[in-house]
Amino acid sequence: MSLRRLAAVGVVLLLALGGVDYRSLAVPLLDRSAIAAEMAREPDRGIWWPDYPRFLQAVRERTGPGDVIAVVVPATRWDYGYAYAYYRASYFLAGRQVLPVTGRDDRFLPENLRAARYIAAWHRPLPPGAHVVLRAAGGALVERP
Amino acid sequence: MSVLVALMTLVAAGLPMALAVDRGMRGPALVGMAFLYGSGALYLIELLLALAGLPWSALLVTALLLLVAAAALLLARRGVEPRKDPSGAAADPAHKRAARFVDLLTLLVVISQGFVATVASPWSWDFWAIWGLKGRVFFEARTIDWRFLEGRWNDFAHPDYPLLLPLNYAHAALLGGIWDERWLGVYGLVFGVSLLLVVHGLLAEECGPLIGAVAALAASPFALSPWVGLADGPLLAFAGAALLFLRRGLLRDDPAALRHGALLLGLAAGCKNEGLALIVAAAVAIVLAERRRWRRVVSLWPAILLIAPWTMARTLHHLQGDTGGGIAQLPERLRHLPEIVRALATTLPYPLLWAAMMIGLLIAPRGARAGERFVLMAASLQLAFYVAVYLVTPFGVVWHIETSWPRIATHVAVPLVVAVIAMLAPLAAGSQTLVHAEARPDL
Repeated sequence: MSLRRLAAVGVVLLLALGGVDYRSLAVPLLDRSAIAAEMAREPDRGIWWPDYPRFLQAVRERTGPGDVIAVVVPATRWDYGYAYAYYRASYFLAGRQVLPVTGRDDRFLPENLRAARYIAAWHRPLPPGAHVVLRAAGGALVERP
Repeated sequence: MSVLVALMTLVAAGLPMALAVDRGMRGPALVGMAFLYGSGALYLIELLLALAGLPWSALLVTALLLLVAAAALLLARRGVEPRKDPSGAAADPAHKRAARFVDLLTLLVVISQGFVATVASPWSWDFWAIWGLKGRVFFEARTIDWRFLEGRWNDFAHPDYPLLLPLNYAHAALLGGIWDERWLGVYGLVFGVSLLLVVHGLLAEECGPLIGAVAALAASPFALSPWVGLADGPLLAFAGAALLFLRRGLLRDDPAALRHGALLLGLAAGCKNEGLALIVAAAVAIVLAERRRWRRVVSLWPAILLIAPWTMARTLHHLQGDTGGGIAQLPERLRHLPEIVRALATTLPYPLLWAAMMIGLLIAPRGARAGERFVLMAASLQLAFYVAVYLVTPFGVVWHIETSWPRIATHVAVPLVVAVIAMLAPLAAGSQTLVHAEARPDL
């Protein structure tokens, strides 16, 4: 066998076998409950788990298609938590119109609060006299008059 | 359960579509193509219904899918007689046995990846902020929610991205009557398996069952995308199959293969904007690789037809992308080229396999390398497009590379792996493949 032919065999074998993750072949035989729990938490790391997604689900069940909902959370800077909270709310509240109260430049957006029918406030103090229609998982859903 | 029903429906509907394009298609490649065509047809049906202002229902969408399948069946029955397998002699029984062993290993890889992909609901940011989000929004609206896509606060969801995957997700929800993302990770797996079946079928016909099996195993790390729930898996399935069929069409003067390639290119562009770039890359590669027969580029016209509806919709609704906004920074970026190259090199997935492919290219016989000109050029151009986007990205360039290159570098890896194996297999076996034995004089 020539050197070139040997090299060809080597390259083909390397391509065939070099990319297989042999550890993952055992995954079907393992108890996956721990990793399943870990991956279920993955979207909502840190302070958000488990209450924020539970709160959003409760808001979804209390509201209807087309409702306009502003999201208020402890994070008030876009790139330091608010963006995550807004995007996550957009997912859970699909079918509703979700509005942020903090812009990409970290500016407060009172016009979005005024435009909303509901305010989903999670771990935020509520103004006196707020009409709370739901309390769940550390948050409150306020219906604006 | 609704995901399973959706996937089975797509395969069943796609079978006659694949046969309508190529009545001679058989075996694993036919099954793979059935799913690809079924998911593509579903996307076009839901898109056209949305453009016509007609709401989706499980009944309406399924009925239209079956109608398209029935029309395809009629076309398939009127097509030309199947070609005989040009490889002629039956495969060596020892090679067949070895191929089954290799197939078993590939099956184990697929099963293990299936368990990984479905260990939980898709968890990545891009699923619930882009692909899954759109699927859910559109399911809730029973149509494409143009107001959502146009909303000034929803640009994070990349409203300009094509909608093949979200519309497939919405279809599963329509069938189940409820949005449930728990099993949507299966879609990526099935797209990957479809590509592996195409690889297996095409290479087995070309080089024998053992090489077909080896090529499928080699393609599996790239085809079975670890990016659960994202559109990279579907894109690389359509893109990989497209380039492989175009390769076959050009090497063998096979019009059916060219049809497959063009249709798959159009559907790749329905997955992500990178698919649009691939149409250009493939067209340029045909012109450069086929010099004397460059007019074969015209055979890509179905791809243009397939991208027309979404392209028009995007224009009508002013759905903007966010790439290229940093073109003014190009001179500055070029000064930091070593840093960019380092970021590309250190985040390249499976570096050992890419190194093996480079070595394979170097040691392959010259005639074989010339025969793979189209795939090599198309893949190189596509990767060059990606690097060009990085140079003008409005975002931090190293951040952009680190968060995307590990995904997108795999988009054209499968046809490259197949091309290298096709070049080396006869050298390794001490023989000459059918396709390169038939190589045209201009090679």
